[in-house]
Amino acid sequence: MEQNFLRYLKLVLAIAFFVTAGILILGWLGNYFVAEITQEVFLPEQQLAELKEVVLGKPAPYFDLKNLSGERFNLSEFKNKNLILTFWTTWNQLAADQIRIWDEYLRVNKSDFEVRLINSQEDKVLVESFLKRGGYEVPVLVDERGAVTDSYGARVLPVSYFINKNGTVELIHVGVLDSKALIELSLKTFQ
Amino acid sequence: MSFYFIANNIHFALEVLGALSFIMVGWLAWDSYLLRKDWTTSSRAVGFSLLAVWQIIHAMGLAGDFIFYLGYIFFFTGLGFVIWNLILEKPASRPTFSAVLLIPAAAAVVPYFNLIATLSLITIAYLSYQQYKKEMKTSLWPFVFGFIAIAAGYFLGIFYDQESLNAFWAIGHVLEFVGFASLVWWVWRYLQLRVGEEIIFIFISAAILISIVVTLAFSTILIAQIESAVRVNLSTNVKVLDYTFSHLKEEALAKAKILSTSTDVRSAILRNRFNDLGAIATRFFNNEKLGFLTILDNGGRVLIRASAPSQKSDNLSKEKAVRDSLAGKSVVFVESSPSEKFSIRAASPVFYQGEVVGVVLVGFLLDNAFLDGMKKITGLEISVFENNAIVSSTLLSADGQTRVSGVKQTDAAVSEAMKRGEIITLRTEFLSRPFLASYLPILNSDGEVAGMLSAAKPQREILETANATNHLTLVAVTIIVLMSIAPIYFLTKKLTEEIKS
Repeated sequence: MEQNFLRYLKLVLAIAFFVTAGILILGWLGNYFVAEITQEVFLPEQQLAELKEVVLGKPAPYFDLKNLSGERFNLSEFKNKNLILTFWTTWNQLAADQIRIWDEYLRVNKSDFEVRLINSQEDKVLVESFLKRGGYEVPVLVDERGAVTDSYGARVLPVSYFINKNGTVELIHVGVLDSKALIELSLKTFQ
Repeated sequence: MSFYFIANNIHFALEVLGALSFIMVGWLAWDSYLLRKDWTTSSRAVGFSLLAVWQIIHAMGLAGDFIFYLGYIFFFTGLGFVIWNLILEKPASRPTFSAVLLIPAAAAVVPYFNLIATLSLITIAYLSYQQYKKEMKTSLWPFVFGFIAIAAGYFLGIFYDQESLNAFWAIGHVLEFVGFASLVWWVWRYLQLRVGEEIIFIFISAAILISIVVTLAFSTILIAQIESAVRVNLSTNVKVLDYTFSHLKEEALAKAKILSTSTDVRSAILRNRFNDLGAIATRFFNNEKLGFLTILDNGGRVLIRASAPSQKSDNLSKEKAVRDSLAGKSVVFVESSPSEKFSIRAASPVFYQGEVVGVVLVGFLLDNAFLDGMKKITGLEISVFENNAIVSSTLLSADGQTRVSGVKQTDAAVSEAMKRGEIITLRTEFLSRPFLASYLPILNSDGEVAGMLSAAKPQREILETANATNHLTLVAVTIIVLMSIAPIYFLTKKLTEEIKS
């Protein structure tokens, strides 16, 4: 009886060991691939360090911008809310593709953070035409003069800033973020 | 019938055979365990049962990252148990674990998993070969041979995926078939000594065989109908796109003519009042929702660009539309420009006393955003080609992020149809991915083919429908088989007892 019990215990332990080892290895591989996909590949190290030095870990620079309907939005309105700001332009292919990704993401997911996509230094009419052409329904703010873009040090687009409830820039991501990376990084940053 | 569809069904049938072979080996091992009640036998039984679960998941083609990882956990755990069992069964000259646990530090999931699987399967073949050598168990030959063939099949799996069918795919599947068949043969030789199990397995195998035949026949008819419906749908959609294009061209031409006949524009050009010209252009551009608006002088030099006021003074007189318009004609072309890229471009001359004093150039961009909008309406993957190279598309490359810009269309049938200016719907490959696609020539005012437009549906989506049908039918049959196993088991048990007595 006792021998049987030990035998079964051994079997259960062996299965548990293999399954746990499998989950750990695959989990580690999964993290590796997410890191591989979302790595910041577009900016040399020095430039990236400079960009991070401007705002990373610091209070997010204030902004007060209009959306396409002329409504004003400023940073104070996002107090106590997690916020992602993505800077983009229509002429930059990668940045324009980030709008498609945000559009798909916001259609499918219910997020517990706010999103504002700041168009940098383009005419409002151009932005409107672009969004209408693509049928994109995303919350866009227009920084026609580029002052906000400059205060965030957003020189390479697209670039996304993850700002926590206290208004501090927690993470900066340069380059395109796909839906998986958006979920991964927002969970990592805001929880 | 599509080659991909046939290949998909072959893959499905093969994986079901694989599942059956592992179930049979697992069953045999559990049966031995009931007699021997030892850890060694149970590890083999657990191992093959886990491999059977993996094979069923694989056969079902269940999607999603979680299922993918779960399947591989079952697979590698199963392999681990089988290897463990073979090591325990052979006390002399045990190989070390290091060969088995050779997992690369950095890997691309499937190719590396296939490599690990190959190593593990080869280890199983090697250990059983050692057993054969030591004990001269000739009955083990099909087992050894089976695992070598399956290992070779997995190794070739590194060089293909389900969407890029090639010689590796064909040879890999043949090897896997030989391997699974060899395993079934090995089990069968044992089962011949046991009438009860033999009857049950004949029953299960026959039921599964019938279900596969029924499933595949059913899905073949279904797919033929779906494919025909998709072709009709594609042709219709591409005609709608053609209509949209024609409409945009007419709209651009009409708007260019309206602005070029404005006395305010003429007066501002003649008097070099660029501020006034800028204000008129911006107002018209905003009100008419154009993609771009440019006003040029009679030498083709840009005076004002409403969409980008800072970009001016460049000369566009080499563009077909501008050249024809400077000659006094109102025209519309689809052509490339450094500032607006490949776009619909309508140009109309501004006349003063019978002389051309300027040109109004307006149009619509044919960029990725435009196609994204089209995709939302039609649900199809749409691409615009300049000549035979993609300039904008809704298709994404393998990374799932970047567009497939610049890729060339190489299908000769499409090129021929475009030369003739005809619409063509066909099964074609694009970036090594199979599609059902309709191609439509983009014609200029002079009747020349400037490029083409394609609306495509990935064949994967059609195959997914076939797979869903296959899986549902198979699940239904499996449930029926499981439900009927109990009475068959008791019946065979009774029969064998009666034979024995």
